[in-house]
Amino acid sequence: MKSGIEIERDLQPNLPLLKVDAGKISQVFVNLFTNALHAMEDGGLLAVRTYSKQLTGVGSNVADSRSESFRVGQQIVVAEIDDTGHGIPEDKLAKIFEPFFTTKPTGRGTGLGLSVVRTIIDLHGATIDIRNLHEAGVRVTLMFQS
Amino acid sequence: MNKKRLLIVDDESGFTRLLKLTLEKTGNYIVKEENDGTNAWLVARDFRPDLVFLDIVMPKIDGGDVAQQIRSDPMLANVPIVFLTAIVSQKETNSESVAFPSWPSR
Repeated sequence: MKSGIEIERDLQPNLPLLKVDAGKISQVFVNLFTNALHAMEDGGLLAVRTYSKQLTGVGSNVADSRSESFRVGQQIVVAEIDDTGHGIPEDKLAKIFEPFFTTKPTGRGTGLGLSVVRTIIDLHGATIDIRNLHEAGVRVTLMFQS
Repeated sequence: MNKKRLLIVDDESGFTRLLKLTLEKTGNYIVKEENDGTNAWLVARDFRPDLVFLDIVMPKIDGGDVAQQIRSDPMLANVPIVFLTAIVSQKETNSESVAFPSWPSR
C-alpha cells in the first residue's frame, strides 16, 4: 500500500446480488484503484462507496452508450470511487477509453487499462462514467442493473 | 488508413479475447491472439505484426525467451514488443535475456 493514502469505505450492506464475471469485475476494480493510487503520488484520500437505488432518470447520470438499456424506476447498484489526485485535463476526458491513450508518463502505462475496463463494463450491460470533481481528483461511477 | 497488425501472446485466453475485442472495436487494428508461447515466434513470422504484446510469465516458455526468438529473427528484429504482466517482480525487471525500455503492467 502506498504511504500517505487514506482509504474510506462506505459500503451498503445487503446489496442486491449481481450476476457478473467475478474475475473480470475484479480486474475492473484493480485497474481503477491502481489509476487512483497513481494519481495520488503525494498521498490523498481514496473513497469507495457502494449503494443501490431506484433509477429516477436516464441522461446525465447515466452518461454513456449503454444508457438506453437502463429504465426509469429500475433498481441499480452503484459503485463510486473517488480520489483526490491531480484529475484528468478536461480536453483529455473524451479520449480516456481509447486504446493506447494514457496521461501517465512514458513507461508507466500502456493506455490499455481503461479501454479494457470499458469493454468489460459494456459486456455486463453496465455503465462507467469518469469525471473530475470540483474540489480535486476524479470520480468513477459504475452502474449495474440488478 | 492501413490497419496496424497487433499480435497478443498470453496464455490466458480470457484476457487475449478481451484485449482483442477492445482493440478491434476501434476499427484501427487487425489483431491475432496466441495462447501458446512456444508458437509465438512462428505465428509472428507468418502474421508479420507491427507490434507484439507479450506476457512475461507463461507455462512452457517465458516471455523473455519468446522476445529473444523474435529479436533474433531478422524479419522481426525491429518489431516493438510491449510486455504485459499482472505481476512485475524485481527479478523480471532485472531480466538480462533482452533489453527493453519499459515494463508496463496491465
